[in-house]
This record gives sequence, C-alpha cells and structure tokens, in this order.
Amino acid sequence: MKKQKVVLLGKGRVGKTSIFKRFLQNEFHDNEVTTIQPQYLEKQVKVNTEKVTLSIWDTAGQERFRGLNPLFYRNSKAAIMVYDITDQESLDSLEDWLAELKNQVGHKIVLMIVGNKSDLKKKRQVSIEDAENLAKKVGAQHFCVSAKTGENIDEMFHELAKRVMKFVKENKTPLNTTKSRRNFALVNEDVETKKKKKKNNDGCC
Amino acid sequence: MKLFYFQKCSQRKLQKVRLKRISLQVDNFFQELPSIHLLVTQINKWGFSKKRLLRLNRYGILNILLTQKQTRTKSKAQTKLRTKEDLLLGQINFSFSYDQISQVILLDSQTFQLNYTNRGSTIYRHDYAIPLAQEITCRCEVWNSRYMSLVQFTKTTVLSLLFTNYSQNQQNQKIETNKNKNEYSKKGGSIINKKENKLQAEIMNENTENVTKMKKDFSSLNDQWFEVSVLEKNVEEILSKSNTKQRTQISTKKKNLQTTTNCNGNGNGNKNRNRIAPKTKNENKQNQNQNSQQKTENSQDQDNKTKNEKLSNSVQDTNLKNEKKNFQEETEGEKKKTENFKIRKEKKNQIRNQQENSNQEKKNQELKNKHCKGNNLLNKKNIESNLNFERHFKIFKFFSCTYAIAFERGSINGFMIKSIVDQIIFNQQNQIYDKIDYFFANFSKICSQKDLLFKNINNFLRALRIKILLKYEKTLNILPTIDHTQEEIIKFIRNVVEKRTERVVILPIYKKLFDFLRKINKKEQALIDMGIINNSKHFSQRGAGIVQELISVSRWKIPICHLKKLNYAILPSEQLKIISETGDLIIETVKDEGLNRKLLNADNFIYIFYYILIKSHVSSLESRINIIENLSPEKQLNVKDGFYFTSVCAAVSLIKEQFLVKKDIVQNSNNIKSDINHKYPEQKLKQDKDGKKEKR
Repeated sequence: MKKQKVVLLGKGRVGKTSIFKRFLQNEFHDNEVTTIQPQYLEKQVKVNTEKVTLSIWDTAGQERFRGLNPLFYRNSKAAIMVYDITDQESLDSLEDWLAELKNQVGHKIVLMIVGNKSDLKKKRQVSIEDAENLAKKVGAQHFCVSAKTGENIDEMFHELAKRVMKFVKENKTPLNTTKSRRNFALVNEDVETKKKKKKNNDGCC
Repeated sequence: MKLFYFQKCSQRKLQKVRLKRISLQVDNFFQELPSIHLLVTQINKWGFSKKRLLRLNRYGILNILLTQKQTRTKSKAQTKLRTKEDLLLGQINFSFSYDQISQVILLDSQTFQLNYTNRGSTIYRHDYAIPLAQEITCRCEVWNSRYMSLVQFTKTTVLSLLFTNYSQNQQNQKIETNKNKNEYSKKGGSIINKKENKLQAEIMNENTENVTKMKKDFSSLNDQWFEVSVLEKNVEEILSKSNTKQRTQISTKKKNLQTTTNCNGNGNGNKNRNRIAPKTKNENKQNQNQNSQQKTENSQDQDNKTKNEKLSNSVQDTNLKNEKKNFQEETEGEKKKTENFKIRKEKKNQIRNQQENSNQEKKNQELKNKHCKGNNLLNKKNIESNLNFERHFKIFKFFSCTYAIAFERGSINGFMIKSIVDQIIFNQQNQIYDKIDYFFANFSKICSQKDLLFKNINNFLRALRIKILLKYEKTLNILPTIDHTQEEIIKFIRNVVEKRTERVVILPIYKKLFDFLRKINKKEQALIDMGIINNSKHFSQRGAGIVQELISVSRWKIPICHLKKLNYAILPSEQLKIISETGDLIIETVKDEGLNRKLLNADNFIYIFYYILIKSHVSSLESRINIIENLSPEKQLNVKDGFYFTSVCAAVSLIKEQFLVKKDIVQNSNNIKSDINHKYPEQKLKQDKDGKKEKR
C-alpha cells in the first residue's frame, strides 16, 4: 500500500511530539516542551497480515502559523487531535481545529481524539464524557493516552492504521475511461461569473 | 543485363533506397525506359478513381502526385482535389469511373464525409488514409505565430514506386527469357523495345484489339511487373566514371598512350607527354626542340593539310618511341619506390596492429571486470544509444488546426491532446517555443483565474506524459535483444523517457509558466526581492526569531549555499529536492555544531528557514511556490519533501508579512502626504468637470 499521511493537531504544549516519538522511536524526553525533532517520521504498522506505512507530520503549534495549516492538511488520510486532560482549553480549542479541517479536507478523513497525560489523574480537568461526546459528534474515536508511561499508545496507532486501511479500501476509485477523459477537459469559468463580469463592465457611468 | 520492376513502397523505404541508387545515373536510364503508354497500362491495373500525376525521379523512382486543397467555410468544410499536368510524362486518364470504385475507397470516402458532418473531436481528424498503395491525403491549417492567424496549407501526397533489382532466385527462374533478350541486345535491340514500338504504333492507330493482345503478351512475360532492360555497357561507363579517382597513375598513363595512338596529333597529347616525360637534361632538350618544331608545323599546317600530315605523322612516331622508352625507365624506378614504400607501410601497420591489440586487450579486461562486478552499466548505455528519442518520434506528423479550433471552443479532449503531443515532440526544439507561446496565449484568454490556469495545465501535462509514454511503448520492438528481462528493460525505458520528456518537452512549458506568473505578481515580487536584497546584509539570527540555543556559529552557510541552487532550477521536482536537501543540511549542522536538538521544533525550524531564505537571495519566491504547490507530483508532496516545503511556505509567509505590509504602509503614507501637499491646478479641474458632463 501507499504511504498514508497522518497529521497531528492540537494546541501548543499538549504533547503531540512526545506521543509519536513514543510510538516511533520508543523515546520519551521528560523535559520536552513543544519540541519536535524530527518533525516528520514514517513507520510501518501490521494490521492482520497487511502492512500500512504511516507518514506522520507534526505541525507547528504556535498560533502565528495557524493560517498555514491547510498546507499541512492537504491529502491527509487521518488526523490525530490531541488535548491535555489537565487543560480544559485544549479540548475547547479542538472544535475550532475540527471546523478548519472539515473546511479544507471535507468529511473524508479518519479522526482520532486523544487525551494525553493520563498518568496525571489527580490534576484532571476534562471529564471523559465530554471528550467522548465530542468524538461522537464528529464521528471520531476517543482514546486516553500517556506518552510518559506509554499507556494505550500502541493500541491507538494500531486502531488508527486499521481504520485508515478500511478507509482507503472503501474510497478506492476504479479507473474509468470516461473519468479519465473528463480529466483532460479544459476547465472553464462559470457562465454566471462571466455574465456578472459583463454586467459590471457595462454598468459604468 | 539487369531487370527492373515497379514496386509499391513506403516513404521510409524510398529514403533508404535513394541512398543506394545515387550512383546510378538516370539520364541514360530514361532513354531506355519503355514508352509512357506501357507504363500507363501497367499502373491502371492498380485502379485509381481519379486523375493522377505521374513523375519519374532522378533516381529512377516513379511518383504519383496528388495535390489536395481544402477550404473551410463558416457552414461546412469542403474538399477539392486538384491534379496538375506533368511535363515529362503527361496527364493520365484512368479507366475506372466513379461507379466502379472499389469498396474500400467507397467506405473511406463515406467515413471522410461523416467526419466532416459531425461536430466534435472527430471532425478535425487531421489525416485520413486511402488504403490504395499507402497514399495519404491531408488537410492542414498551420498557426502562424507572427500574424497570429491560421494559414491554409496544401499538402502534396506521393504514391511511390521503385525500380529495384530482381533477387537471384527470380533471375535463375527466368534464365531462358534472359538468354533471348541478350541475343537481341547484342544486335542492338530487345524484345521489349520492339514490342513497345509496336504498341505505340497501334495505340496511335486506335487498334484496340491488337493492344489488348499485346498487353496480354506483356503481362505474360513477368506476371504483373513491368520489365525494363538496361545495357551493361552503360552501367560499366557509369562505374568507370565514379571510380576514376581510385585508379593508379600507371593506368591513366596507359590510357593516354592508347588515346594518342588513336588520335591525329593534337596539342593535348603533347601536354600529357610533357608531364609524363622523365627529367633527364638531354631528353628534355630533345623534347623541347621537338615540341617547338611541332608547334610551328601545326601553325603552318592549317592551310595545307595534305602535305603536313605526313610530316606530323613522322614526328609523332619519333615522339612515341621516346615516350615508350621513358615510360619503361619510369616504371622501373617507380617499382623500386613502391617496393620501399610497401616495406615501410608494412612496418607501420605491424606497429599499429600491436598497439591496437594491446588497447583491445585492455578494454576487454575492463569490460570483464565490470561484468564481474555485476554492473549493468554497459548494457544500459547500449539501450540509451538505441533510444534515439527524437528519431522515433519524428515519424509522426502534426497538424495544428485541430488544436487551434478546439481552443477557440474551449474544449480539450483526448484527440486534441494527441495532436498537441505530436506537435510538441515531433518538431524541432526551436519550434516548440512558438507553439508553447500560442498555448499560453490561449490559456491566459480562457483562464483569467490563477487556479483555473493551474488546473488546466496540470491536466494538460498529465495527459502529455501519458501519451508520450504510450506512444513510446509502441516503439519498444525496435530495441535489440539484451540479457535483461523484459520488465527490467521496460522499467528502464520508462525512466529514461520520463526524464527526457521532462527535459525536452515539459521544461519549456514550465519556463513559460514561470515567466507568466512573474508578470502577474510583478509588483509584489519586486517588493519582496528588493526587501530581501536590502535587508539581507544586516539580518541577524535573533532578528529572524531563532532561539539563542539554536544560533549557529557558521551562520547556516552550508544550507544557504545549497538553497541558492533554487535560482537555477525550473522543474518543480528539482526545486522540491533542493528544499528537502537543505532541510536535511539544517539538521546536520545542528548535529555537527552540538546545538540543542530538542529545541529544533516545527516553529523554530520555520524561523531557521526564514533566515536562510533571506540570506540566499532566492528570486521570485511566490511564483516558485505556486508552481511547486500546484504542479509537483502528489507523491512527493505527501512525503518528507512535502513537509519541508510546507515549512518553506511558512517562512515565505513570514517574509511577506515583513516586507509587503511595511512597504504598503510606507507607500500609502507617502501617497497621502503627496496628495495633501499637491496643489491641483484650476485648469485641470475645469477640464475634468467638462469631461464628466459630456460623458453624462
């Protein structure tokens, strides 16, 4: 199978990089604060007998670069939305991220909502019910994960790979001759826009 | 005696044969050809429907010409067939009437009509073939880039026939007939010539019965083919003329001697003798005296020929004797010289052979070593040499009319792209640029928006690539047999073809697109470029926003140098490669300098790119990004290269923020100040008011 693009999204200092580092390199840096090195990694995941290569992109968390996120989303098959269970704002901000994502990519994407830092149960501010309700709304799956201890991380990525496989198989379009011919067709401007332009031009004083 | 026959053949075969047949002079060949009427009777067997033009080539190749002109009106397309008279062979009326046309021609004519009644892709089929004897007729309208209009273009088509030798087997089968012909040829004529004469006379008298009989006789000689006899003498003469340069001096001298014996003592003979004579003093003097005597005699002999003939003959005899002696001496001296020369040559050849052998042995050893290592480079080189990309594609022709008309309608389909492929590839490289100019002019007309333009070009390029590959795969049979498996060869060829299409065909398109985008974003890009150039000197790492722990001592010199290559790269794939390589270099420098790797996050990475971009002076960044974003392959964008590219995009957005916004503000403020300070003249105010009133 092809490499499937997966995007990690979420507020700054939520622990995106530490999650995928735990998964890909089995490393964890305790003092890591919004650090990402390397920012792009690939790994093969076995699902039953088949293999999927996930190419995981970590995005910039700063609000300054939020306008550039569409570039990151493009052609992505799955998105992991990460929030901090000790920070209520991080879950609230996910709704904005989701709205942006759906604007850019549409509904054709596998979504996972992941609550990080599950080892800090005493400091918990976000209830599991809220998170699961949001996941149901969006059609995503919810996971509670700890990058520090490695709890649920492999399972979460395994589930993601499964869902991506399904998604790819379902959305495989057969090569129709008619479609390929249509692709060669020259894309014209809409007739209405042309008419509007004409009207605007004619309507000078 | 040689036999020739007519054969239908293709243009390519003709070209090959022409080269072989150049040595054969055809001036004599024409004389020995049979009369036109016989030719016509033979050609009529092929059954043409209309009048055709016959012409014989210099090389003995018979062409049947057909000129076709087609005019296209607003309502429908019309075709007109025109024939011309030939001076050499005359116009030929063929016996078939329109009703008696073969079914194949009828079918073709019907399809042709259908094609022109329908509207769509099939109307403008650029060529249609009448199956008779590889005859091709075509309609052309060429786009003239200078006048920006379509120009009508008529094309002559050729049906070609060849005079070729019989094979040996055929000759053996017809030895008996040849014997008879030889007998006639010795007497000064042939069976065929006699028959021709008879035929001519009978045709003139319109004795139809006799003509049919003769035709039957003629056809019985050699089934369908027409025979032509050529005398051996003529061929020998031609060969002798062609090989004069290769002959030795001695043979020429012998010839001269023979000619002098036959001639009556003209001045030319003396001149030759002077050249040949040896350089001994006594003999020279004698010769000079003799020559002077001869000259004086020749001048006197003009009045009284009879008296002087005897004298001149006596002088000639003496001269000849002297010459014979001289020639014998000369030959002996020359023999010695030649012997010495031969010995020297042999020695030289031996040395050369030794050197060559040693070189060959070395080469063979190298080759063996390479094979042992398992490198298949040699085989690959062989394949590459055989893949004459342009040569294979030149076979196809292009007709731009379809392409132009379809553009006017705003519809591209598979067929049109095929024609474009032909157009772009099969012409010379210089002509490609004109076509691409036209291509972009049309695109810019249709696509006023940038997104539309990119969509169209993306579709166009994708179709181009596919079509080129498909067309090239058809020519795979030409390849030689090599030890590789077929799959390996096909893979290799695909790679080669893809690379070459990128370089030869698609590169100029990208260049044009790049220029086109530059024009669109002229103001913005100029501002950005100016900003980069002005601020690059005093631009610090901290100013870029890089964290103090990631500030490098070398100031990212290596990645900056590498990123400068972007200025020379045009293909989006190349540009992406350069960007990804610079990304890797950044990580390497972080490792080498022992900087804090943990802090190299996505945000800081963008700031580093921002610093490097400003320092590397990459021009017209926005148009480059536009091209990469829209036209690079999706595979590349989804992998590591794509990731680095996104970070570059972020860096460019930062640059835009810095230079564009500031400049705009400064410019606006300047404009406002100038407006305030500017005193508007009263006359102009009045004029403006009057103008507005008139408009209303």
